[in-house]
Amino acid sequence: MTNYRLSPRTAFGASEPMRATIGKATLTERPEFSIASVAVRAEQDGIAAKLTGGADVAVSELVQTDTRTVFWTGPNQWFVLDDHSAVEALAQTLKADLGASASVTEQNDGWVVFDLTGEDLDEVLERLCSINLSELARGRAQRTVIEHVGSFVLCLEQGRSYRLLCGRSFAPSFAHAIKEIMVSVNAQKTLLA
Amino acid sequence: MTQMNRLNGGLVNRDKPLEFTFEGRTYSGFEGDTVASALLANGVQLMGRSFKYHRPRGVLSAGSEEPNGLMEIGTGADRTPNSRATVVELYDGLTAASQNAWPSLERDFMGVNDLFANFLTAGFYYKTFMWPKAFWEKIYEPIIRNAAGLGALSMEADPSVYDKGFLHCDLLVIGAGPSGLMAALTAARAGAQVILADEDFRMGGRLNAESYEVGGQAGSAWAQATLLELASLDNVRLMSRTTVLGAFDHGIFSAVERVTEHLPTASVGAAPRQTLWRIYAKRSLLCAGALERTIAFSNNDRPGILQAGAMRAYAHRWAATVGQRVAVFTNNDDGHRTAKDLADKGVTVVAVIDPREVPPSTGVPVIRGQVVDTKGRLGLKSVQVRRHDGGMETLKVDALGVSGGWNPNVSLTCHQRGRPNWREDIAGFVPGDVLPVGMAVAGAANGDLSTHGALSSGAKAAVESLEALGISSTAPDVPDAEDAPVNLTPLWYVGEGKARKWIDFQNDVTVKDVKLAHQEGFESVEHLKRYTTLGMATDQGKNSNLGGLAVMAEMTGKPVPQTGTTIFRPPYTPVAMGALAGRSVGKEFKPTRLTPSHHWAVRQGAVFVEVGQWMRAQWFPQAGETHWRQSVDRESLAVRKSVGICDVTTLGKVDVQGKDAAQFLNMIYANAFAKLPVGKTRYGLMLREDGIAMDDGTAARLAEDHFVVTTTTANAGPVYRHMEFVRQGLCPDMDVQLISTTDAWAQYAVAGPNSRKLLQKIVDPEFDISNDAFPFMACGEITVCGGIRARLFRISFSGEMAYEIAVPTRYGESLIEVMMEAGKEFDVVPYGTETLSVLRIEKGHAAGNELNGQIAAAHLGMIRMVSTKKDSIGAVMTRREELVKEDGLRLMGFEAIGEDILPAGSHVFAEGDKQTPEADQGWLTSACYSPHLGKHIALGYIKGGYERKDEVVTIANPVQGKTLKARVVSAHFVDPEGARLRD
Amino acid sequence: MLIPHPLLGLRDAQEFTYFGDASLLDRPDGMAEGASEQFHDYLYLRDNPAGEHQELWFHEQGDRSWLVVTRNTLTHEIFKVEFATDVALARRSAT
Repeated sequence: MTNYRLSPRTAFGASEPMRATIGKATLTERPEFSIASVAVRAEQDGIAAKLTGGADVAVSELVQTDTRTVFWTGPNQWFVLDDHSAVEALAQTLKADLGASASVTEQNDGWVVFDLTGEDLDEVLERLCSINLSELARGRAQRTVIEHVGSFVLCLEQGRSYRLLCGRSFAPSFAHAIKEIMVSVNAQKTLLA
Repeated sequence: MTQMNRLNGGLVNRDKPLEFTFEGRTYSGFEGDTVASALLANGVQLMGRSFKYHRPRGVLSAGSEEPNGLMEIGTGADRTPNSRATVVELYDGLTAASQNAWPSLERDFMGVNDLFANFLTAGFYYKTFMWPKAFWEKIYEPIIRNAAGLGALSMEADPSVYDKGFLHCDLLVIGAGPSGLMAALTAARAGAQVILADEDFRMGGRLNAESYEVGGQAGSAWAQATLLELASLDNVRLMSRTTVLGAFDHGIFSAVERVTEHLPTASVGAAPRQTLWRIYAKRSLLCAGALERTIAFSNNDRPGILQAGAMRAYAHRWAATVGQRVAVFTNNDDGHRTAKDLADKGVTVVAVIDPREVPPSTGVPVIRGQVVDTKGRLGLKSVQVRRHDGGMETLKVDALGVSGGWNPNVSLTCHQRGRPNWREDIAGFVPGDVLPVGMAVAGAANGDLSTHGALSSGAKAAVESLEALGISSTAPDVPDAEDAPVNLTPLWYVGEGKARKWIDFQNDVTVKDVKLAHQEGFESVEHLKRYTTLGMATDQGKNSNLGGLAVMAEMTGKPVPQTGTTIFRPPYTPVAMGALAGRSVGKEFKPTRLTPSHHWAVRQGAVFVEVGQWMRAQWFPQAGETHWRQSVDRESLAVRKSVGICDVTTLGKVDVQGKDAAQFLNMIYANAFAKLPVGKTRYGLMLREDGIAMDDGTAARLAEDHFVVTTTTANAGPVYRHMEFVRQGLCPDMDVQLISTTDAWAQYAVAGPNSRKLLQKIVDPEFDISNDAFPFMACGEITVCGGIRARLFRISFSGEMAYEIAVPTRYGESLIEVMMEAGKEFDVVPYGTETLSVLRIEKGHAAGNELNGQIAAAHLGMIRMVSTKKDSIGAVMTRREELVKEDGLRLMGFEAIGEDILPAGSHVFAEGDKQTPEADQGWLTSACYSPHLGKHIALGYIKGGYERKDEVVTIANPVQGKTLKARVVSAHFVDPEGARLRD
Repeated sequence: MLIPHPLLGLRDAQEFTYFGDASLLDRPDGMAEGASEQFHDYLYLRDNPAGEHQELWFHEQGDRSWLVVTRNTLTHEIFKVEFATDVALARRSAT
């Protein structure tokens, strides 16, 4: 019987999530998601609908259900976010549901989820990535590069609420780059108002 | 000091007076001034010294094409050299200084160069400094570089921040003059996404610089009204102070926005100085206007002589006159406007000099003739005019406007190799037939030089551009505006006069230099440019290229278009290095990846090393250790004696799943995988298709249809890309799915004879990891510390009994803390990459140094692993004769004879042989001190390999000036039978 | 450059990694007779046309698809973009 116990840490080595508000923008680390990737196996169909419990998830789209966020990441491939406290072993749960029809990979701690919320967020994002923000409407998801870091940008509400994911080991650099731009945008707006 | 040359009116804000200094003297100006306009208003004409001859110079232009008025703006680290005074916006407290002059602008010591002008003509340094050869680098070049030059760097780090960003639009309108404004308005009203970019801080282009009315109001007022409407629309982004620098493939543009450069640095705070934009435009419309050219004549470079159109711009926009008594020299009607406008403003206009037979009449006296010389060293005092009737007149004037006609600003149309077309009626080049994809041109840039022509062509081009996007639009009514035709008789230079006639002011190139280039055979435009330096440096020949071409055309007897055109390349105007670097400065150059144990390792005082993007602990110094070798020797011995822990999360992990997963592994690895049982791990050698080793690692079979492949840290990205290529491109009918999972698991190597005992303290008791239940190369999913899911692999890089244990990354930091606690009774040590390396060298495991892109399976001693029973990437080619020959390179160990370290990279020779490439026997790849063996050892390749065991060879390292001796031994210095692995 | 991805539309070439001639999809069978000669040609004999060329690009910062891009190497005009998988399967069924 082992008496040792492990405690979780955030991607910043802390026990509480990172959060920064600069001007009208807030960046928040969201460690409370479990994550899995799902890829369709040969000659299978309707997998996305099984993940959402109904709706299909088309190219570059995301669908939110009561507990899940499902978004398209590539041909026949999706990421699923769920509640870590309720479904820690999300990949195992999905695998049990999908069986041999899909390949499921645990990504709980492969990616770090951030929420970027506030006002006029286009001004922040247009200095971080090459996404055409006018076309990234609510319900759209796109993979991109932010300061050399491969990442996903999910639009929850255009201009006001985005969900960003980056590889966990990159998280401090990634958050640093975003915060620097938040500072810059805020300073510029204040100065030139 | 009073603003003696300030006129009435203008677009400067007289309610906001500003103070600034130039050459240490304080002047006043107004908000809306440039440094040049404010100096001119203060009666200052002398603003710089020329590049080569140190000739006193004033500004030539009122825009970004300025060749003369280059200054250093700001002080200390903030100093920006080569700033064009004609575009630097005035702010309170601005400090400007001349460059290329010592001790002062008025008394420049190097002005002596002007006396030696005969020695400094085109190509002078190719001819003059030929001998002795060695003198060039040490003596001539430094002297020349010191004497000739532009501004000096501050030699301090730039304290400003620069951003970059990305914008998308339907229509990018470049230039906000009459055509650009009209185009933007047309597109904006149609609902298109429009970006209107202009390099100026005040949009409106020539509308701000002329007296014309547009739609019954002042041109500048019409511009303001139009801009107000544009600013009110959400689909329009107005970007003033934004220069479009380059037109790239498929509608991609670069542009630099000078966000806060017009403000005192101290007030800027965290806001960026500039932002470099990458603009994706479905369509673009170039409305960049036209640039006025000059006429070359003797001493045409004196301060006070400038473009006639610039003179008009200073008078109208900035309410500044260049002088009190003015003349104009022109070959076209437009020059007469300057004379009339200045006269209307109350400036004394002595005469317009026009060589044409029938000059227009504007009420200002006209002399039919040419300017043949000028006087006034530090500022114009008089001009000499040869009348048409042969008589000579001297006009006492302190300013002269010159107009040789206008050149459409075609620069951006050429960035995709387009060549402009010649138009005889304006004697200038207009955009060619092949433009960058999606680009159209309107207004003066397209040769429509009247205001009305610009307005209507802007609207028309916008309608057409939008139509191509399927957006229907209607051109607004074109307001009434001036629509005068161009009346021009080309005159490139005045024949009379012995003094130098300047064509390229910035590079001090004269008519005579161009003629000399022709005489010496440098006729092609590209040769002309390189030989004379015509068109180089900050202005890139915006004023001078055509003048030089025209003189060359005369010499060759060919028309200008047959003589050639110069190629315009990005950037349109100079760009600060800082803007290109953006935030990628110093440690911000690239992102840093942190391992799960990073914060813990920092607390232990670890020394870190950058491995690609990763920061990894290199060793963990303990109290009393003063040299890295002490730490590494201790860590290495501790692992071999008891147990050590190393964070190996950085190794790439690729999840391979699917019905055909095993078959897929058979394809990517040279050795066989199909029969690997579930719950087992196997070493895999990955080859390139040409048979050279690409990477190596292990693959663990977690289920029939599920493997985890590990790659080396450095190759994680390329190997994943390769695997996807094999999957999608070479094996498209296999049912297999891949995804990277590197960051998902915190993985530690736990190595040493006590590794199992340590792990047994944290692995949950329902999982039996005894040697029988979990033998060498076993793998499995377990739980630790009361139910945390984990993966355990019994693999070893060190040669000891060892495991790798992985937990979800959020538990990674906690796991090493727990293992260090649990391992106290075994004197567990953490170890870093240095010890990792020592252990694997001692064991003879290949790593990055051994897989250097030249090494095939046979060289590694692994040819028998390459399965002949299946097809796999590289299997055929790695068996090429040359790669498998018996006396080829083989991986071996080397033991130093003596106390010296064996430097990796040294080459191996047979004893007594000459150290020649022909005699080369191989090289050392990795070396270390082995604390276990108590001697310096190395891995390396040697021809013949095992046949040469026990031979004493020469280790040559001429770079370090060392020749050493070593004994060839087996690469497996430790436990060659592998007994420890299986304990 | 902008590459018109079959699913995602125009994407900046910066998101892609270039690999080479799309003839790399025509890998010989390593178990066949005369494989070493075929591999020699496959690996080392390539056309380098100034003009239309079929190339392999990997959408590394996108959907991780390998694409076959048909492009004019002189003008950078892109005529066609297909999934490498589709091209490989089509070539396979053609032979």
